[in-house]
Amino acid sequence: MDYIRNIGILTKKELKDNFFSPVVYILAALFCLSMGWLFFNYLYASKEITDQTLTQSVLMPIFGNMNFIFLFLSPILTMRAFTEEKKLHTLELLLTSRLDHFQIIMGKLISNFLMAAFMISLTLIFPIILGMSGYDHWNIVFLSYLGILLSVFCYLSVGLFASAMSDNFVVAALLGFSILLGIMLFSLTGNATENILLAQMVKYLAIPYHFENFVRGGMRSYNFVYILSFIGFFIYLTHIKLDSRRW
Amino acid sequence: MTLAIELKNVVKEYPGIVALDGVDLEVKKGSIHGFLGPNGAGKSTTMSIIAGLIPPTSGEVRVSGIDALKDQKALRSMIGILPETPPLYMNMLVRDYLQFCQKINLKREDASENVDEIIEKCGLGEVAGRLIGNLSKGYKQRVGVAQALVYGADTIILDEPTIGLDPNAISEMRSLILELKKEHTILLSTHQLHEVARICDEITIINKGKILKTGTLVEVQSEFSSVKTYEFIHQNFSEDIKKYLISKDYVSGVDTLNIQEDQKTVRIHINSNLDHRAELLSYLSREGGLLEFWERKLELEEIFKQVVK
Repeated sequence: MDYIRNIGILTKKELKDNFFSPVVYILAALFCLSMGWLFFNYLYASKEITDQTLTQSVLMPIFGNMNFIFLFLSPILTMRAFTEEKKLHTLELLLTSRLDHFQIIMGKLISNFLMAAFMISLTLIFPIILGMSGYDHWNIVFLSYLGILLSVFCYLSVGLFASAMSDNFVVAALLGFSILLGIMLFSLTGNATENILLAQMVKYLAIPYHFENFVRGGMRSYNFVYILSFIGFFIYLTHIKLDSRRW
Repeated sequence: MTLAIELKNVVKEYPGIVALDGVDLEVKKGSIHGFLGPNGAGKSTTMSIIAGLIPPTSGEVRVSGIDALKDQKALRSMIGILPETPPLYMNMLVRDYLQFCQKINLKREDASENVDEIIEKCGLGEVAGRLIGNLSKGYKQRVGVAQALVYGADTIILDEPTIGLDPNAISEMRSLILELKKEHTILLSTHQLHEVARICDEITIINKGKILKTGTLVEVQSEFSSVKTYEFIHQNFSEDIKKYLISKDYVSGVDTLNIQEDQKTVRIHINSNLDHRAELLSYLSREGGLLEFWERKLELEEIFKQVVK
């Protein structure tokens, strides 16, 4: 219990820091603006498309776009997580405290995740609007939100690792984005081979492959295994990076 | 003698560099120990090793008798460190910051140290509700010291706490350090040598990763004072007196330091361990015009220069 409480102490402090910073509000405003505009367009276009359900014509593209936007936003959200600590020399304060590396990483990861969740929560207005026009596939809505939250958690773990790797927050953001883009490209690489087994293996490594299963309402246990392994892998890399300060 | 900090043959190597080369250091409990050395001598590395920030390549580190390399968790509650750059979150209030430091270092049931008491002890009462980023450098250093105290550590490491402070702030920091001495052992690194001479019980001089001198200030001074120097002010100091003094086999040199009207300040270098003051005083008095006579002690600054050159 004390272990969880320690994570909570850092999460609370980080959340306070982040919500006092204008960056999160600027990002949230830009995110709302772009998502609102996309939602309006998809909704408007859905009138013309009569052979598709609202899930296919509005919900799936909206969540696909949201996932893509967070590819850029996540490294920006996490870029200062460790670079700022290094700049202020406060990382030593955390590293010499009774918090272990995992607690420090989780404290930062959870606080960034809650910020991203706050931004995503602003889009809850979309299913409400759809509900008013008779839409009732709430299980798809729930799974789509679950999918985007898990997907963003993966992105944030990469962003956090990038932040631990660099001393400069711009470099951290670019590094995080580059890693994520590289992982995304696995989807395209899978299309380049005629070997079905190899194609499936390569596609499996890309986050959108798993995210799509959530949005389609057909997620499998291996989707969860992939997401947990992905997050665990990048937490481990961040842990090694923090530990290397003592080498 | 109880030791607060004990280092035995500590070596720290980086690829191609030996930062610490067999460092032995003893800091007595309840003392203020000055840790001196030029930039890059190994002071901060030694302090970081004691505080558990970095591990040594080899050697033994004991804090209050506990093996600091093996029991890192116990070490955290025994040592508080103010690094050269205080680890401060600029967008936090002073009180919130200290409470945060306490929470991440102590279990809830162990948090006996009252943050408000430490705020008062460090003279932060009037800025407790202000953002750290808006404070003066002197106050920021004080917040850094409070951070080192807030989890009840017995031993405090202060790495250049007076760096960049104005004379008033230096004086306030000195008073604070002396106040802390009542309850804590302090290992203090600074380039303000006159401050060290005023407040430290013992000093250690390090250069190029090796300990050069250690002991009380008097011990170190007397070690360097094996060649005695006397100074006097004389009204009738002449070439004859100088010749007479130089003719003595125990005098290695006579320098005139200062001439003010008819008064001359003169320094005599003695190359003998025997006390020749009576003889010299008797001769100079006989000549008439001797106003003052004293044995010159080496200043810490001179000792420092001699040791590290």
